[in-house]
Amino acid sequence: MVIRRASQLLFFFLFLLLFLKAEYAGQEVLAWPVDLFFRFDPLLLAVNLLTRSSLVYALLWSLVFVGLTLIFGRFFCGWVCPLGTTLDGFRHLLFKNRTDQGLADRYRRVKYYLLFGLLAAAGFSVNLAGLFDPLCLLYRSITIVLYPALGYGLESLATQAYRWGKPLTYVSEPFYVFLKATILPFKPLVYLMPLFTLGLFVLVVGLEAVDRRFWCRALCPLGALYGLLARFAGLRRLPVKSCPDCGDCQALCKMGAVASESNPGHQAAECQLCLNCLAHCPHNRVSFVWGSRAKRPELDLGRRQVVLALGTGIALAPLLRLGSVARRPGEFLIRPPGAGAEADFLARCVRCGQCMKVCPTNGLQPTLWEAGLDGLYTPRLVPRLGYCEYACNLCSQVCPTSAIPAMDLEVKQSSPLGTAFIDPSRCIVYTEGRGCLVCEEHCPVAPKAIIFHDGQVRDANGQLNTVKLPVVVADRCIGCGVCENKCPVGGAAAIRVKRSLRVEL
Amino acid sequence: MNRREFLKQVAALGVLAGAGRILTMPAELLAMAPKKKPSPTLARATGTNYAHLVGDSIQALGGMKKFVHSGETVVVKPNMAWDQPPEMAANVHPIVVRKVVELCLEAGAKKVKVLDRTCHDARRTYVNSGIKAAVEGIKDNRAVVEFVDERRFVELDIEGAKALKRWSFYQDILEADRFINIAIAKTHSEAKLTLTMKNMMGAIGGWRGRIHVGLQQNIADMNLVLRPDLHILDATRILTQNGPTGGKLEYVKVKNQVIAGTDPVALDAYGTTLFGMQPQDIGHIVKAYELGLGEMDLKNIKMLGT
Repeated sequence: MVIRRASQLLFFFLFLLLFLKAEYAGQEVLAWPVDLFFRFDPLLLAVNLLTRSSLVYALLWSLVFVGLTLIFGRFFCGWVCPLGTTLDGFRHLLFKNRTDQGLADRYRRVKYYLLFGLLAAAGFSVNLAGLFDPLCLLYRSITIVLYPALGYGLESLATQAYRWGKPLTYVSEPFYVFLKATILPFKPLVYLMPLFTLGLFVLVVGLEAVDRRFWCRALCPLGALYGLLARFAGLRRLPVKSCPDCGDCQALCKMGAVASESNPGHQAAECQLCLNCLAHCPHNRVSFVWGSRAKRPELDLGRRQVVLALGTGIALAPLLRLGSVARRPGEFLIRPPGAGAEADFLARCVRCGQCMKVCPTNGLQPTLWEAGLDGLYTPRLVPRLGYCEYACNLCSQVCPTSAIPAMDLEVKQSSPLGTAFIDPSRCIVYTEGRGCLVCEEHCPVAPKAIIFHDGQVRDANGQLNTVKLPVVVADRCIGCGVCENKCPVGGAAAIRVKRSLRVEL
Repeated sequence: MNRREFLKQVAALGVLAGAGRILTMPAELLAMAPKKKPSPTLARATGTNYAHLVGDSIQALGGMKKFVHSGETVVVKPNMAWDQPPEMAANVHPIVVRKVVELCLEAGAKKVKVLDRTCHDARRTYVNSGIKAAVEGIKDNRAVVEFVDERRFVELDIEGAKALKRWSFYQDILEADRFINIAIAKTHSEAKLTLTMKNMMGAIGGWRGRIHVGLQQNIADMNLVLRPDLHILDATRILTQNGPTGGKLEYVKVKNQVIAGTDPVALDAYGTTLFGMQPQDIGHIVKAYELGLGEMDLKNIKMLGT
């Protein structure tokens, strides 16, 4: 019990630590293996194989957990999974004394159908596993809303204290410096769609009010995958049948795994080896043993339903794809460097949100509908919020599925994300006949992709002024968006990066 | 002297005095006459040992003790705004900054803060410019390389400004006992050149892109508030093309010079000659001269050193 809790906390804090370490810290190569949890995620390996993307070798680490699950059962959910720990934590805080409604048991099969549907769709290159993968879900939620909210809250507190001045700052400033050095980001992070993301997260947490570990029991596709393996685990829990004189463990088990009236036998596919029943059995009858020959309970998924799930996945694939194919990538849909063809990128990206977290300029943002329905939560560059830093390739270092492939810096610096276009109806130089050239100043390529020609522009007084008119040399432009980011025109910039014939469609 | 001669002299004096009275110029006319200011002095050092160049040029001006006194707080503002390594000449050379900081410490400074409000991500520019490591390599805890804290910008009215009447400035710089500006000589399309006065862009807050409309006057105006005690122009190598970012070694020209002075206009006027230009070619030099910030006529500038 104590050991299990310690394990949960250990992995949870490791998850958070690796989250914090996904930040530029003076080194071009990140010092920590920040995508560690994702490398050990067999669901991501499965979709990587099914989408027939080039194999990401780091994902083979997940076979370790596959092996361990075949030995011990679905221990991941009870001992490792940071989302599971999060749910346990919130339940202890918010829903301590609620009794289970039993809904999770009734919908237990849904997670398998979801898994099958996701895998079937993956076979047709529609990769939605990341939307439901617990690690991706948690990482994404922390990245997009929880961490920025914490950061913004603490920053504004510190700013308020700073404005009050002494003597408050004697206390607040050292505290702020400490936070800045430890948990706060270098500069406040902001992401699009925070409320939508928060809503989904609250929904997953809120289901705890219905049943303990509702998400894990009824919905989690990774849990389902581990469950399928755990049915054949070497370690077995005895007794398999419920005891006629006592049903304490039925109420105790937060996964509903213990044999009961509705359960013919102990569900190894559900049991997360929390060992609560072992510790609390009043008769000391519970044991976990090796090599038991007791009959394993059937996993009755229903043939029809399985076929239906697979069919839905297969059918959904072209339907969703039709949406994004018909849509074509919008002119402002700028993908991270090296993303390549849009369809390939969508097939590889698992929407974990790590690239958004690590992006030093805060420019990588989640996509809502701009890339079609199957593009939900994929990263895109929004140059007005942050540009692609010329000498940085951190996003490719954290991507667990090589959707943003590792590239030499020289290659990255010559692969266009888009092309900048000047809007002469908004550019200060073209409209007012006054000098500016901020875009040209910041252009990082050598020679610059923004040059200028002397030209004459009539100002409001009718006077002809000779000014330096900025012009984009499209062949040199790599679409990093620093020009759009720095453009002093208010609202949308007068120079914007768009998809162009230089970007693969 | 007899009476006759005495009377003659009195009469002559009277005439002279009367004429003097008539000839005396009105006060307004007097004010218009050029003020006899001592001609500004710059000190130049040439050579390949960049630390020596800094030491020699400042020594020629009387040594760092003339500018920094014991127990004072100093802010050193080098240009370290760009994510480029030292050889690309987009930032001040780290050895130059290090030597300036060392001289401040030797002069007895209580604290030396090195900072810049950068253009690229500050974490990257501080590291890749080599300046953070160079200053921290001194291993003196009085010398710190700090990131700019956005809360510490304060808005000020700029007295005498022609265009930039109000803007925000960094509090630490305004409050420091001494302020030292270290700029690198580079090309810049809108400003034409970026020298010491343009380097003050890194000491101001706000949306700096907005300052680029009417940039030349704005640069001159912000120098009304920001008046460093000492300016150092790093021309060890200069960026002759594709400025201010650079990005290719072929754009860099090695000049092996460091020039120091207290008159930024004079320093920048000299700086134009490094690029084969004239002071009057650069708008903000002319505008700063017009604001009385210094001397732009090269003939009136005294150059010490080699």
